[in-house]
Amino acid sequence: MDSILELQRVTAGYKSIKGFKSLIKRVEIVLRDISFTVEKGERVAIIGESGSGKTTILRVILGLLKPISGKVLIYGKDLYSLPSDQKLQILRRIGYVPQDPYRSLNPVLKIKYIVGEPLEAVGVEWRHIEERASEVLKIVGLPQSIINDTAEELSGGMRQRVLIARAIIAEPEILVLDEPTSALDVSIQAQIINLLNSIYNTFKVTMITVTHDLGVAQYLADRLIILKSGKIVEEGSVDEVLRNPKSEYTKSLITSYLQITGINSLNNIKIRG
Amino acid sequence: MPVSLNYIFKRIILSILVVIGVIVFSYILLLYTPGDPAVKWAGNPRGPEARKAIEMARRELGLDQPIHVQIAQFIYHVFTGNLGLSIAYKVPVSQVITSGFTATLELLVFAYLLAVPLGLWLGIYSALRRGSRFDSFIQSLSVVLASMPTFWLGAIIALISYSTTGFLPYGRVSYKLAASTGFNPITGFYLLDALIQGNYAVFLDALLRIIPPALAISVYPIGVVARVSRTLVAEALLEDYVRTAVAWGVRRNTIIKHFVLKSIIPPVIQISGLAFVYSIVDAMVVESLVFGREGLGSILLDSLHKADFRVTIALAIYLTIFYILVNTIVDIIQASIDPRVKI
Amino acid sequence: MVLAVRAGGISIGYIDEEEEYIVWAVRGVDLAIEEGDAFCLVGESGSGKTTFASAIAGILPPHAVTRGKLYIFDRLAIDESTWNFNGLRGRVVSYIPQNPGTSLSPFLTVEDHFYYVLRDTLRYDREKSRKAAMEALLKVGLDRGVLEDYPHELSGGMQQRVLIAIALASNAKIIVADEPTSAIDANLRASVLQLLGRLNREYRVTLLLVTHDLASTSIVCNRLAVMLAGKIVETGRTISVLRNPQHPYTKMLLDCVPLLGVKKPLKPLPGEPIQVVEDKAICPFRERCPRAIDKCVEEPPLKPVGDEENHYVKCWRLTGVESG
Repeated sequence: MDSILELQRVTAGYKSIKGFKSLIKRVEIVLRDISFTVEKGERVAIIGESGSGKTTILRVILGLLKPISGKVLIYGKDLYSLPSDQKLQILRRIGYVPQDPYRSLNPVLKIKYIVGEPLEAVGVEWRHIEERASEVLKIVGLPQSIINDTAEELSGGMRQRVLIARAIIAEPEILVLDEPTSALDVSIQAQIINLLNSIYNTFKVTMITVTHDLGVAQYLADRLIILKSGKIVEEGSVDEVLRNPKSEYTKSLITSYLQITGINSLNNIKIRG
Repeated sequence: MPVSLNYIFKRIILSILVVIGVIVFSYILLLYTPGDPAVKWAGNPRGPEARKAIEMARRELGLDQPIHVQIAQFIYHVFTGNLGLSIAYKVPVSQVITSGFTATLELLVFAYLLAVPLGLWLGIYSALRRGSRFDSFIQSLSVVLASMPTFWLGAIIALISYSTTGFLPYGRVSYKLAASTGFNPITGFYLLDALIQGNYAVFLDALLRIIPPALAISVYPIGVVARVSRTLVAEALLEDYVRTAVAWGVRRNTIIKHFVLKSIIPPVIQISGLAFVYSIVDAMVVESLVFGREGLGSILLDSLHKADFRVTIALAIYLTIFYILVNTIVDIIQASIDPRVKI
Repeated sequence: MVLAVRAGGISIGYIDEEEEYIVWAVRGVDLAIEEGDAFCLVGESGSGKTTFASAIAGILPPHAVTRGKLYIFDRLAIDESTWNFNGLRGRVVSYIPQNPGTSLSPFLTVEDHFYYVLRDTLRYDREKSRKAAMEALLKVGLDRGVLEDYPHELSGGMQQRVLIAIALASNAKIIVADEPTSAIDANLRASVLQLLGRLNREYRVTLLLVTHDLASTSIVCNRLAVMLAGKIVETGRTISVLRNPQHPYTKMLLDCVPLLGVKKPLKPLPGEPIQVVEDKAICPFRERCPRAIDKCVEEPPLKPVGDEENHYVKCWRLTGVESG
């Protein structure tokens, strides 16, 4: 099988300056010795609570944070040892949907500029961009009429669709999703999950989702990587992990999720009333 | 305190580097201004002996040395506070500067002690009555105040307080009164000195004399602080934590005092600090040209007039150091108030 | 039976500053919450649930307009366009906000928050408020050590517990919780909801929980109401609504919840939640409803369902008009 993304013993963190004695920068380690592989066409979810390092993994994959040690291989090439133009070329094959649709859209830009930006960056002519932008808006289920509007008037679900349109306009081979539904209502969350899966099926992309929500991960991934305090505590197919969790942490995640959606097995779980 | 010594240390190092840059720059600039200081030092000599006298003066002043040596020596002197004798007065430069500096600083601090609380009060009050007549009045007034030229306003104030009604005394203090009551300036801040010595006659006299120029200077910070604090309070009132506190039954006054005010103090301090250093120039113009007070303004004019380059340069440098000092202090205060800042 | 909250035909709208019209978020709602109930208000964004909760908590913004009546323990809090929440806020009704990260002042320690609340509501001094704070923190399972902390030094889950503790400390009889779990990690949600449920049972606090997640109501609430476009479309005991949802909207809300280990496709609701500007009496779900009939251009009444106690639904298809 083709591995499209591979993290080899990645340790990463952020610089911080503390204390009087050292003017030397210290590093706060967030990820410790992370290794995993994503095959071409796979759907993988990285699960973790806030502070687990999932955002740091994203930054490492997206070329924004050079690991302290270890390698990030995308298409077999070591991302951080490539010259910057080649690195950019590889990163262009990744489409990214950021976390908060309410804060990630420039409120004064027209939708067509937001959606078309990845193409504009590689120097595509504007009339082609506009054509392509209306194509992707159709794919994500947005009306053509909003192409000249700003994002200010759009609802959360529509904003998320705009961000997805932007992520897929340059026909990426990898789609990276950062908490794609956590800011949305449950009813809209289902729409977005179905949309993302239909994009996956139509365009045969590789999909990497980062989330704290097991329920969302179950619908957006075939394989789960469970992260706790910067380390991988469990990895396996969705069925395997959900049916037969090995680590205590995964078990507690599943229990708390089942408690919340107690109705899925109404007969087993007691309801007050 | 969330501010570490490390941060303060780094800020000071940085400030020193800026000061050295300013010294070098202003020294070079001064070398190219017309009027030879050596000629002045030698006392404008004429006749056949002139050339020799000027040469001697040049050597005495160190102007015959290569420029980098001159600058290095100068930097050393700045940091040791020994800038030699004033060319015009033949007294130590530091003495000339200190006397003017305390006078101007006294005026500025007095003006700001009036202006900042008043501006803050106006801003908070109008933010709490948004859309009212009082609010729109304060809003337009603050624009007018902040944009009024201080020297012009100063002239009007001077006209009212001295010429037309003539009820306020002129200058900084009555020297006659000071001498007769045995007033002895220790710190150079006359108001403070008079209070310490319990000399209320001099205190009242100096107070009456400081009010008109302080009024003129305070108008700009009143406008700026009122406007900024109004916006900040209006924004703070929309914060989630204010809404939540209301729901918890916290009273209006408590919310303003403890929830809103605490959040706007750091930015108000910062903006006041910026206005303060800006006002130094205002004060220098107004105190000397309009209100006839001695201070940095009169010293600067005098030194330029008499090509007293040592005083001019020392003035530029010590003002820069003062600017940087105020900014650093403001930053440190600001950081130490905000519990989220860890530096 | 004492009613903690009684709303009679209450409508709440917001004046649009420029255009001079009123957007009605809540439209003619009748609702009664009994003392000791754990009541859940479910709806999508724009359904008016948060507006309704803000009215009960006494924190409607100044540009809100109201009609109808709202009683809180026989105190008339909203009488048509006049409001009177004096003495209610904090003393009778307290509040747990949605976003723990922004709902505590960054400039005050946790102890200061307690102190100002308790001083202003119960006239406690420092010492007394500290004692009450420690008691309340104990109830939510936090250590007294957090009293000295500033909010940013606490994790999201801890901040949420502090908010709950403050809401508890003033001994309010009703606690309004506005989406208390939507901003925290999934694995903390269950414990926060369980905590709220426990407080409701053990301390007889009447709980009004606002949420967009119908499934999560089951662990806390004994009664719920589903809101849509400012109206209640279905209400009843949690167990009877969840087991036997009647309104097509309620059914669809249940169908779109991702369930763990259950392989079924998600059935999202079609379209976006609608915003009703004009006050026309239609069924607000008509355009998104797969079972809409001609009759649905008129607004259906809230009718009881079968012989279930207190289960009501607002749908023509279930009130005998099956033709068309």
